[in-house]
Amino acid sequence: MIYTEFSFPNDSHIIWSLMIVTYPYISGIMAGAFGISALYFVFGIESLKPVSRFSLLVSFSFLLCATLPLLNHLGHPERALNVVIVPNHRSAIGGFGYIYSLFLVILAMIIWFAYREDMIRAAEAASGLKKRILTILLLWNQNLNDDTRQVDRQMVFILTAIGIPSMAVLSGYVGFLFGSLKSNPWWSTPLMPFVFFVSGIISGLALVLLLYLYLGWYGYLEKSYICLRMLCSLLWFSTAMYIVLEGVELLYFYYESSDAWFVISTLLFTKLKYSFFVLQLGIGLGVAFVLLSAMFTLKLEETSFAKMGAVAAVYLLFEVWMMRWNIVVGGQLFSKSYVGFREFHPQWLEKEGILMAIIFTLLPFLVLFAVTRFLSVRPTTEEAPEQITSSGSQAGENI
Amino acid sequence: MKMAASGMAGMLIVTLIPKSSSGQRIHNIEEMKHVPDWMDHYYAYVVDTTKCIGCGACARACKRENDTPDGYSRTWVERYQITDTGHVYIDSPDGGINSFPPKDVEGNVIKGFFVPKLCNHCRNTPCTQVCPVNASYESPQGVVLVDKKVCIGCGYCVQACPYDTRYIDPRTHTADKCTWCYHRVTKGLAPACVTVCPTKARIFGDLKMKNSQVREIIDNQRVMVLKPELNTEPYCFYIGLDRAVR
Amino acid sequence: MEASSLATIHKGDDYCLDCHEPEWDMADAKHANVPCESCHFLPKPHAIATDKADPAIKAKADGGKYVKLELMPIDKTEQPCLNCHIFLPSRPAKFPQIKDQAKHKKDGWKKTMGEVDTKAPCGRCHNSHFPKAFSKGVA
Repeated sequence: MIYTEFSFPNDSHIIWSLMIVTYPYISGIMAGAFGISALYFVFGIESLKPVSRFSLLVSFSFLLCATLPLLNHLGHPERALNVVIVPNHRSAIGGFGYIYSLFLVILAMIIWFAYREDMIRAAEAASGLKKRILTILLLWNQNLNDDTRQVDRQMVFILTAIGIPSMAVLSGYVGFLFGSLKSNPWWSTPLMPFVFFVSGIISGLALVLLLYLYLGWYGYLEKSYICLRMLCSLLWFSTAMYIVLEGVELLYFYYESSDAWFVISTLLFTKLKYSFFVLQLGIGLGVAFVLLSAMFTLKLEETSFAKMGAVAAVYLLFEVWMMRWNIVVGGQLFSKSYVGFREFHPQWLEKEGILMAIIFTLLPFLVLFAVTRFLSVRPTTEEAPEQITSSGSQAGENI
Repeated sequence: MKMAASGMAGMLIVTLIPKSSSGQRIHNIEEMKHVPDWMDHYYAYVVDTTKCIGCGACARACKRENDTPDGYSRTWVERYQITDTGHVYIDSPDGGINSFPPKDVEGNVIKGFFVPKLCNHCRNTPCTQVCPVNASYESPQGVVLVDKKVCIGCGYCVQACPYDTRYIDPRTHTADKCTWCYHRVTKGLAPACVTVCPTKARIFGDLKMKNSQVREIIDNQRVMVLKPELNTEPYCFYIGLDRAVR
Repeated sequence: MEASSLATIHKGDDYCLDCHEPEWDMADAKHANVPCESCHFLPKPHAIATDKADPAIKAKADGGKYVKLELMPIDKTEQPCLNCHIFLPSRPAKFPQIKDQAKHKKDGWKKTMGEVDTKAPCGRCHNSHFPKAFSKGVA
């Protein structure tokens, strides 16, 4: 039977648009950044020390801003707390309120313990309002000796260990939300939570890499070639895992050739031809993976290595955003009749438009800026930016 | 009370079989408000696609009864035309609300029919399962409803429904869908679409009633549901559902 | 539950026949099974129970159970008829449908009047309540 195009009457509008693309992007970065800290604090990968605490701040800033796109999307944001007051335990979104709050508390506590010594020193050096705020934040306990440092380290270890599954659930549940819907064949796959989780790790790694290069250049973070190499190899590994996951997912769709294969193949080869194959896979993933592979195959100077790493990271950040778009919006470009398609053209000034998406994506950076101003210890002398050397770390301040 | 009780049973019979052989007449809808045991029913819906003529009276009645927003349909009718070349032409102009104009298709139409669609009020509802705030719920009579005071408008239920019967009402920003005219059935009336159907293609009734028409059809005739492989257990049963139906 | 306390808009045939039964006893007609509200509808109440009506309007009740509030609009064009009876291949084959309106009118007239008026509306020969051509109610 050859069907002519037909969409169900209620299928005229796309209800999950840019806000639902932005939210997993932000929560993915949050997860990836936390993963870096976890690798250091729990698994003891020493080479990640320079970025370990900074990643916590990145994760925290993105976590704080994560709910904003969702609130903007809701028809009744004033009732958003219903999700924690009268949640449905069988619903993935119903669990969101608790998962998010749990991770927020854990991350806040980790940062508190990790930065406790710095906050004490800053409180001693500060005066006036800043001193008062810091004293309150420290919960009026400014004891500092080897025992307290030991306790701080232990608490960071324990909390980060608890935080890992919490972070995994927080970034994986979005995938579960999509993957468990039998009504939508483009979304319905058990691999979806892993696809979202791994791409979240990629985006977090890529962003921290870029920020590390930037801040290291200006002396705010300790410059370490080993750290850079470790970040890039983690990035390569996650990208390889993502390619495998995405490839297996497509292979299964094609091979099983189930009732929805017609609509998925038409979707992929017409509506998503450009955004999926060219932008996401070809440019985003392909270029980045080739670059990363080249970085580890060829013998490169450190500056070249860093530059290629930065380029790969930018491409991967783009790729992960396109992946969110292709899944969220792509899954709504066809009707549930499986024989109809529609267009989607986001507008600049809509409630869930392009401008709002840009604002919500940039907001975490503002928060990060504010947090680092508050929690960082500025260098006492301005040091000129120097080349990254492989012989140990620069005598810069640790953020 | 007694009159109301027998009146309610009579009302269901009256709305389901032709007027000329009707039994008791209910004179005033107000009398039906105090129907005893209004919870003690288990409703089902039957659509007989062999009888539907695609007049659109049901879609018009639903819109009037429930004040549905423009551009969305709680119930709609789809027209299928299958030609000798193996092509299937499906259309539903505005949900069929203004009936169907003749449509030219390539080839000769060898098989054609109309399929009314509405919320299936599934037993294994995907929409109720995913609602984060329990705004979507099932009544004891088997009717799936939305509590508009709790709904946060996230749209998860709209994504989860495989039959595309839900939508976000642009006026209230909450989820909305066919309620089997719950405000009518709890007073002993039939849904608006059933009330106005001229060919009795839409049938509604109580499975708990021994001699209800839906009971008789489901027990004795060959009935089908939409997308049975998804295990949603719909309670809208179709007579004459073709393999071409989406 | 708020869902069950909404106002019912469609009233059902019994409501109409309370006042109109003597006029529209269609028991023998082909449209006997077509509900009144399939074709007739008014968004506001057409009539109100006398004991609930305004004293000013009560006077018009004339001892009856209902008082008329509004005139039910009647669409005398061909559209309501064509909604059901124009030929569509998807309609059941046994359902009376008109493939060619001009021919239908030509044949119908020839049978009875001997003249042809292909522009006559449906109502010229058919009363919608007694749809058999030239049965009661047609001029």
